[in-house]
Amino acid sequence: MGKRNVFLRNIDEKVYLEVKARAALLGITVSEAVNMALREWLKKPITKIEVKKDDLRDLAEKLANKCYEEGKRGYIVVVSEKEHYLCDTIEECIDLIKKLYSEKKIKRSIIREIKPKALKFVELGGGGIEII
Amino acid sequence: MKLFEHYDTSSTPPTPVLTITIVNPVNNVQTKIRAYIDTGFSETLLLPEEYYEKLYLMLTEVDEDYYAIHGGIFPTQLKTVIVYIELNGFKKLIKAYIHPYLKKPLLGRSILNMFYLYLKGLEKTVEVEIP
Repeated sequence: MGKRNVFLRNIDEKVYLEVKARAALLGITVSEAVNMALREWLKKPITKIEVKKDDLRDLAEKLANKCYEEGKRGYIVVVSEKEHYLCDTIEECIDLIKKLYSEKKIKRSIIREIKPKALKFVELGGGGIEII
Repeated sequence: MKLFEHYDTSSTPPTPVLTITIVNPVNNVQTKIRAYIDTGFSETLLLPEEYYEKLYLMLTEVDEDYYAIHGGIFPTQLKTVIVYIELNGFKKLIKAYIHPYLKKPLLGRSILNMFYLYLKGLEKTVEVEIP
Protein backbone atom coordinates (compact mmCIF):
# COMPACT_ATOMS: atom_id res chain seq x y z
CA MET A 1 0.00 0.00 0.00
CA GLY A 2 1.32 3.45 -0.91
CA LYS A 3 1.99 6.29 1.49
CA ARG A 4 0.36 9.68 1.36
CA ASN A 5 1.37 12.99 2.92
CA VAL A 6 -1.40 14.60 4.97
CA PHE A 7 -1.25 17.96 6.73
CA LEU A 8 -3.52 18.14 9.80
CA ARG A 9 -4.73 21.32 11.54
CA ASN A 10 -5.90 21.74 15.14
CA ILE A 11 -4.16 18.73 16.66
CA ASP A 12 -4.27 18.97 20.45
CA GLU A 13 -0.83 20.27 21.50
CA LYS A 14 -0.67 18.17 24.69
CA VAL A 15 -1.69 14.99 22.87
CA TYR A 16 0.84 15.67 20.10
CA LEU A 17 3.69 16.17 22.60
CA GLU A 18 2.82 12.96 24.42
CA VAL A 19 2.61 11.02 21.15
CA LYS A 20 5.99 12.47 20.11
CA ALA A 21 7.55 11.50 23.45
CA ARG A 22 6.13 7.96 23.38
CA ALA A 23 7.09 7.47 19.75
CA ALA A 24 10.66 8.49 20.63
CA LEU A 25 10.69 6.00 23.49
CA LEU A 26 9.55 3.23 21.12
CA GLY A 27 11.99 4.33 18.43
CA ILE A 28 9.27 5.02 15.86
CA THR A 29 8.23 8.20 14.04
CA VAL A 30 5.11 10.20 14.91
CA SER A 31 3.68 9.20 11.51
CA GLU A 32 4.10 5.52 12.36
CA ALA A 33 2.39 6.09 15.73
CA VAL A 34 -0.51 7.91 14.02
CA ASN A 35 -0.87 5.06 11.48
CA MET A 36 -1.00 2.52 14.32
CA ALA A 37 -3.61 4.57 16.22
CA LEU A 38 -5.77 5.01 13.10
CA ARG A 39 -5.65 1.28 12.31
CA GLU A 40 -6.84 0.50 15.86
CA TRP A 41 -9.61 3.12 15.60
CA LEU A 42 -10.86 1.58 12.33
CA LYS A 43 -11.26 -1.79 14.06
CA LYS A 44 -13.83 -0.39 16.52
CA PRO A 45 -17.48 -1.07 15.72
CA ILE A 46 -19.52 1.71 14.18
CA THR A 47 -22.45 2.79 16.32
CA LYS A 48 -25.08 2.37 13.61
CA ILE A 49 -25.70 -1.28 12.95
CA GLU A 50 -27.89 -2.46 10.07
CA VAL A 51 -30.79 -4.58 11.29
CA LYS A 52 -33.15 -6.80 9.29
CA LYS A 53 -36.64 -5.33 8.78
CA ASP A 54 -39.30 -6.86 11.01
CA ASP A 55 -42.88 -5.56 10.71
CA LEU A 56 -44.03 -6.86 14.09
CA ARG A 57 -41.03 -5.28 15.83
CA ASP A 58 -41.59 -2.01 13.95
CA LEU A 59 -45.20 -1.99 15.10
CA ALA A 60 -44.17 -2.76 18.70
CA GLU A 61 -41.73 0.15 18.55
CA LYS A 62 -44.41 2.57 17.28
CA LEU A 63 -46.98 1.43 19.84
CA ALA A 64 -44.48 1.58 22.70
CA ASN A 65 -43.46 5.13 21.78
CA LYS A 66 -47.12 6.19 21.53
CA CYS A 67 -48.00 4.63 24.89
CA TYR A 68 -44.91 6.16 26.50
CA GLU A 69 -45.91 9.63 25.30
CA GLU A 70 -49.40 9.05 26.72
CA GLY A 71 -47.83 8.27 30.11
CA LYS A 72 -48.59 4.53 30.04
CA ARG A 73 -46.09 2.07 31.49
CA GLY A 74 -45.72 -1.72 31.47
CA TYR A 75 -45.52 -3.98 28.41
CA ILE A 76 -47.14 -4.33 24.99
CA VAL A 77 -47.71 -7.73 23.44
CA VAL A 78 -48.05 -7.62 19.64
CA VAL A 79 -49.34 -10.80 18.00
CA SER A 80 -50.37 -9.42 14.60
CA GLU A 81 -50.66 -6.13 12.74
CA LYS A 82 -54.17 -5.64 14.12
CA GLU A 83 -53.89 -7.28 17.51
CA HIS A 84 -51.97 -6.01 20.53
CA TYR A 85 -52.46 -5.96 24.29
CA LEU A 86 -51.19 -4.04 27.33
CA CYS A 87 -49.82 -5.87 30.37
CA ASP A 88 -48.23 -4.78 33.65
CA THR A 89 -45.55 -7.45 34.03
CA ILE A 90 -43.60 -9.98 31.96
CA GLU A 91 -45.41 -12.79 33.81
CA GLU A 92 -48.74 -11.28 32.76
CA CYS A 93 -47.48 -11.12 29.14
CA ILE A 94 -46.57 -14.81 29.24
CA ASP A 95 -49.97 -15.79 30.70
CA LEU A 96 -51.70 -13.80 27.96
CA ILE A 97 -49.60 -15.34 25.16
CA LYS A 98 -50.25 -18.78 26.63
CA LYS A 99 -54.00 -18.12 26.50
CA LEU A 100 -53.84 -16.76 22.93
CA TYR A 101 -51.68 -19.70 21.87
CA SER A 102 -54.15 -22.24 23.22
CA GLU A 103 -57.16 -20.45 21.73
CA LYS A 104 -55.89 -19.24 18.38
CA LYS A 105 -52.61 -21.03 17.85
CA ILE A 106 -50.70 -17.81 17.30
CA LYS A 107 -47.33 -18.44 15.71
CA ARG A 108 -45.38 -15.45 16.95
CA SER A 109 -45.52 -12.59 19.40
CA ILE A 110 -43.36 -9.63 20.37
CA ILE A 111 -43.16 -8.36 23.92
CA ARG A 112 -42.04 -4.75 24.26
CA GLU A 113 -41.52 -2.77 27.42
CA ILE A 114 -43.07 0.70 27.27
CA LYS A 115 -39.97 2.85 27.55
CA PRO A 116 -37.47 4.40 25.16
CA LYS A 117 -35.31 1.74 23.54
CA ALA A 118 -31.63 1.73 24.43
CA LEU A 119 -28.76 -0.01 22.68
CA LYS A 120 -27.32 -2.57 25.12
CA PHE A 121 -24.11 -4.55 24.89
CA VAL A 122 -23.55 -7.93 26.46
CA GLU A 123 -20.16 -8.57 28.04
CA LEU A 124 -18.77 -11.89 26.79
CA GLY A 125 -15.82 -13.37 28.56
CA GLY A 126 -14.34 -15.54 25.87
CA GLY A 127 -14.14 -12.91 23.13
CA GLY A 128 -14.51 -14.89 19.92
CA ILE A 129 -13.69 -18.31 21.38
CA GLU A 130 -17.29 -19.32 22.09
CA ILE A 131 -18.39 -18.95 18.47
CA ILE A 132 -15.66 -21.12 16.96
CA MET B 1 -29.35 -29.29 47.90
CA LYS B 2 -26.10 -30.23 46.19
CA LEU B 3 -25.43 -31.66 42.78
CA PHE B 4 -22.30 -32.66 40.95
CA GLU B 5 -21.45 -32.60 37.28
CA HIS B 6 -18.37 -33.66 35.33
CA TYR B 7 -16.49 -31.18 33.17
CA ASP B 8 -16.87 -31.42 29.41
CA THR B 9 -13.66 -33.25 28.50
CA SER B 10 -14.26 -32.97 24.74
CA SER B 11 -12.76 -29.48 24.93
CA THR B 12 -9.11 -28.78 25.70
CA PRO B 13 -8.58 -27.96 28.50
CA PRO B 14 -11.80 -29.47 29.96
CA THR B 15 -14.61 -26.97 30.64
CA PRO B 16 -17.04 -26.80 33.59
CA VAL B 17 -20.63 -27.32 32.45
CA LEU B 18 -24.07 -27.48 34.01
CA THR B 19 -26.99 -29.44 32.62
CA ILE B 20 -30.14 -27.35 32.79
CA THR B 21 -33.62 -27.65 31.33
CA ILE B 22 -34.98 -24.81 29.23
CA VAL B 23 -38.75 -24.58 28.90
CA ASN B 24 -40.85 -22.43 26.60
CA PRO B 25 -43.35 -20.95 29.10
CA VAL B 26 -46.11 -20.72 26.47
CA ASN B 27 -46.27 -24.25 25.03
CA ASN B 28 -44.08 -26.11 27.55
CA VAL B 29 -41.75 -27.43 24.84
CA GLN B 30 -38.52 -28.18 26.64
CA THR B 31 -35.03 -29.50 26.22
CA LYS B 32 -32.01 -30.32 28.36
CA ILE B 33 -28.78 -28.55 27.54
CA ARG B 34 -25.21 -28.71 28.81
CA ALA B 35 -24.31 -25.06 29.21
CA TYR B 36 -20.73 -23.85 29.60
CA ILE B 37 -20.13 -21.97 32.84
CA ASP B 38 -18.89 -18.55 31.72
CA THR B 39 -18.21 -16.12 34.55
CA GLY B 40 -17.07 -13.57 31.95
CA PHE B 41 -20.61 -13.44 30.51
CA SER B 42 -22.60 -10.74 32.31
CA GLU B 43 -26.11 -11.90 31.43
CA THR B 44 -28.22 -15.03 32.04
CA LEU B 45 -28.11 -17.58 29.24
CA LEU B 46 -26.82 -17.34 25.69
CA LEU B 47 -28.23 -19.93 23.30
CA PRO B 48 -27.27 -20.98 19.78
CA GLU B 49 -29.79 -20.05 17.07
CA GLU B 50 -31.06 -23.67 16.68
CA TYR B 51 -32.96 -23.38 20.00
CA TYR B 52 -35.05 -20.48 18.66
CA GLU B 53 -36.77 -22.86 16.20
CA LYS B 54 -36.54 -26.00 18.31
CA LEU B 55 -38.33 -24.47 21.32
CA TYR B 56 -40.62 -22.14 19.29
CA LEU B 57 -39.11 -19.13 21.04
CA MET B 58 -40.63 -16.77 18.44
CA LEU B 59 -43.64 -16.98 20.78
CA THR B 60 -41.83 -15.25 23.62
CA GLU B 61 -39.57 -12.81 21.78
CA VAL B 62 -38.85 -9.46 23.44
CA ASP B 63 -38.17 -6.36 21.36
CA GLU B 64 -34.78 -5.19 22.63
CA ASP B 65 -31.58 -3.97 20.96
CA TYR B 66 -28.96 -6.28 22.45
CA TYR B 67 -25.52 -6.78 20.92
CA ALA B 68 -22.58 -9.01 21.77
CA ILE B 69 -19.16 -7.58 21.05
CA HIS B 70 -16.51 -10.17 20.26
CA GLY B 71 -12.91 -9.26 20.92
CA GLY B 72 -13.98 -5.61 21.25
CA ILE B 73 -14.49 -5.43 17.50
CA PHE B 74 -17.23 -7.57 15.98
CA PRO B 75 -20.84 -6.63 16.96
CA THR B 76 -23.57 -9.28 16.66
CA GLN B 77 -27.26 -8.62 17.22
CA LEU B 78 -28.95 -10.97 19.67
CA LYS B 79 -32.61 -11.92 20.01
CA THR B 80 -34.09 -11.70 23.50
CA VAL B 81 -36.58 -14.40 24.51
CA ILE B 82 -38.36 -15.44 27.71
CA VAL B 83 -37.77 -18.98 28.99
CA TYR B 84 -37.93 -20.95 32.20
CA ILE B 85 -34.70 -22.50 33.33
CA GLU B 86 -34.83 -25.49 35.64
CA LEU B 87 -32.05 -27.04 37.66
CA ASN B 88 -32.79 -29.70 40.23
CA GLY B 89 -35.94 -28.09 41.66
CA PHE B 90 -34.82 -24.53 40.98
CA LYS B 91 -37.09 -22.86 38.41
CA LYS B 92 -36.97 -19.28 37.21
CA LEU B 93 -38.50 -17.21 34.41
CA ILE B 94 -35.64 -15.37 32.73
CA LYS B 95 -34.68 -13.35 29.69
CA ALA B 96 -32.30 -15.45 27.59
CA TYR B 97 -30.43 -14.42 24.43
CA ILE B 98 -30.12 -16.10 21.04
CA HIS B 99 -26.80 -15.71 19.25
CA PRO B 100 -26.68 -16.43 15.48
CA TYR B 101 -23.12 -17.81 15.45
CA LEU B 102 -22.81 -19.39 18.86
CA LYS B 103 -21.89 -23.09 18.98
CA LYS B 104 -22.38 -23.90 22.66
CA PRO B 105 -24.83 -22.52 25.26
CA LEU B 106 -23.25 -20.24 27.87
CA LEU B 107 -24.49 -19.71 31.41
CA GLY B 108 -23.59 -16.24 32.70
CA ARG B 109 -23.19 -14.46 36.01
CA SER B 110 -26.83 -13.32 36.30
CA ILE B 111 -27.74 -16.99 36.87
CA LEU B 112 -24.49 -18.32 38.38
CA ASN B 113 -24.65 -15.70 41.15
CA MET B 114 -27.82 -17.37 42.47
CA PHE B 115 -25.91 -20.52 43.49
CA TYR B 116 -22.85 -21.65 45.38
CA LEU B 117 -20.54 -22.98 42.73
CA TYR B 118 -17.34 -24.91 43.39
CA LEU B 119 -15.01 -25.71 40.52
CA LYS B 120 -13.03 -28.79 41.52
CA GLY B 121 -10.53 -28.49 38.70
CA LEU B 122 -8.32 -31.39 39.75
CA GLU B 123 -11.31 -33.73 39.91
CA LYS B 124 -12.88 -32.16 36.77
CA THR B 125 -16.14 -31.80 38.68
CA VAL B 126 -18.51 -28.89 39.34
CA GLU B 127 -20.36 -28.86 42.64
CA VAL B 128 -23.51 -26.75 42.77
CA GLU B 129 -25.40 -25.88 45.89
CA ILE B 130 -28.83 -24.36 45.45
CA PRO B 131 -29.73 -22.37 48.58
